[in-house]
Amino acid sequence: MGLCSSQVARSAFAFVAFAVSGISQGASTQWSQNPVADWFGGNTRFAFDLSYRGVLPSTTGDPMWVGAIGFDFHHVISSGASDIGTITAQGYLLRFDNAVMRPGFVEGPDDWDWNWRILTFNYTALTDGWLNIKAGHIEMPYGLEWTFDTNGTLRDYQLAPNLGLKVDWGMSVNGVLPDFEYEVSLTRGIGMEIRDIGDSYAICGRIGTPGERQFIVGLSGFHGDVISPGPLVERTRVGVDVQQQLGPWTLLGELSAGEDNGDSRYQMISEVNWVNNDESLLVYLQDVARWRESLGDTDSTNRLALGTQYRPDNHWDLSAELRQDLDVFSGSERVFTLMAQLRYRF
Amino acid sequence: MAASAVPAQAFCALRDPVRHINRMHGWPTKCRSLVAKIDEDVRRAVADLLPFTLHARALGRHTLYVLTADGAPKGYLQARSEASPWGMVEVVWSFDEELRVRAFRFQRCRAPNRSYFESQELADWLRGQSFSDLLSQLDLDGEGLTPEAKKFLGSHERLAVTVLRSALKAMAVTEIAWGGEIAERRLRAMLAKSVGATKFDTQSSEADAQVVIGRDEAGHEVGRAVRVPVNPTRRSAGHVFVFGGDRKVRMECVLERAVKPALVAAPSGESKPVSKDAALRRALQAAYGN
Repeated sequence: MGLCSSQVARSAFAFVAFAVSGISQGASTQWSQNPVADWFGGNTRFAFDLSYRGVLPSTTGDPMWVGAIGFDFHHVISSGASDIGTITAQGYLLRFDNAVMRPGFVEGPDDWDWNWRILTFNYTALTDGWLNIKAGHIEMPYGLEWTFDTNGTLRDYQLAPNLGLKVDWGMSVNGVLPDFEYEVSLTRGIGMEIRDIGDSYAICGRIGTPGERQFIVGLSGFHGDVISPGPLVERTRVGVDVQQQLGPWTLLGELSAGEDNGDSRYQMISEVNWVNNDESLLVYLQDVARWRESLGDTDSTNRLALGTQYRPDNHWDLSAELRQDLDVFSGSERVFTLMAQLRYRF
Repeated sequence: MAASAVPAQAFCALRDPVRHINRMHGWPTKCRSLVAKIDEDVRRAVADLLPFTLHARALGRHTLYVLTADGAPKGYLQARSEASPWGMVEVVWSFDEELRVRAFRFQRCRAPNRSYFESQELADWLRGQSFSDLLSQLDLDGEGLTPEAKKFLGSHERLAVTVLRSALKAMAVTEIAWGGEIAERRLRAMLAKSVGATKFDTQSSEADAQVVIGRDEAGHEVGRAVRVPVNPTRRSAGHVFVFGGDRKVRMECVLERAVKPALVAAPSGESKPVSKDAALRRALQAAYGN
């Protein structure tokens, strides 16, 4: 388990919490809310986050389990008349059982791991929102994932398989302008855990039309020497993503192209989803296709997923997804996978 | 999603509505977040004011954005969601210090007739409307438009009702959940507007009322403003009155239900909400001590 990163991260969080408390004491006391919120300075959200996920692949018939116990912390630091910045911290203790397929930072099929999904401070006082500076463990600003939050859910937009990273340690500039929004990051290219893997780095960015519109389009780019199971990979990607809402239906698409060490890579995500009146129920059909070119040969995979997410109240989140491989890379086996997750936040 | 998340949604998905502030009010408008817990007390207090109330999923910690431009109070911004046949409609509302509509924008709306509600005609119609004005556009159960409102909005009734309910809930929640915290600022702004006060003294009063004395440049008193909560024993809306130097009401901000709610016996030991007349008497008592 990643003791090194967890210790660093815990220290960072303790420092941030101390700093926040100190800064906020300068603000007018008329903003105080309650004793717990006051300790952080008032503008705090906090939730415990518990989840348990089961994954049953047809190839083994033997289920994998992932449990998570964590917290989600959000705090806006403010002065008398304006906000200064936002701290977001999501820390989770993960338990893997029989995880024969697992993320690279998990050392074995049965393992405990402390994991920071997000740990950032976004400084927003520099301008009126068009240029902010973020530092910490940042979600890669790329593609559809940037406009959604799929951390801890079964629904996923394939950021990690495509870029090799979903989150990374570093900094970004981000902002919102009248007709577009953007984020550009420079990070270490190491992913979940802070460690020295050589001269790795990653530059990533997305610019898109406003997220509140019914039609959204975004352009993304990525380049870096980044972590992989073997030596560092020189990876480049450019992508375009689109969303179109049609009443309760939404059509989503993302096309990504680039190279890994000079070999071509392509990925296409297509999704149609539906929500009910209060959006407590989401049903989606998602297809992910990938092509890779190596030594003149082209190989491809294609996977179809039917999923649902049900949130009956502001605590429970029940999700399920069926995945079927329609095509697989040479030497692999087609798999039908059943996934289910129970999540409770309070 | 604007900053109105309930615990079921991860907080990293929160977005501040800075674009909406820019589009509605231009730069430089400063905004300051004020997070409050929206709980069952707030939900019950909204039901005291409206024929409908917050959905259970709308409970949680929400943000009110306090707006300032050139050092002067410029009202409040709040995002509020309402279920619709097309999914959740999330509207970012901007209110002035008297809690009248300044402007609004959709943060999320999948309705096919959304563009009509983004027209200048509708923005002009909504601007300046108070809680009572908006409530009078809905029928008694708040599920449809009145015949008068149908003349203007009838061809878009479903989305119109959704938007009006969102506005009414946003006003009610602003007053109930943040009313006490923003009272001093509002009282000062209303004194400046109604009696031209330029200097202010905050006066200690009975625990549940807030009083500000307005003065002119020479320091002479020109009026007093008071906020008294509707129900002193729990979280509730407040009545705001501004008195001139002659102690007559110059301005008021009262969220009142147009139709009397059904008579329900108050639980033993719980204070009954005060009427507007009783609130006025309490406000005078708090302001002048007689």
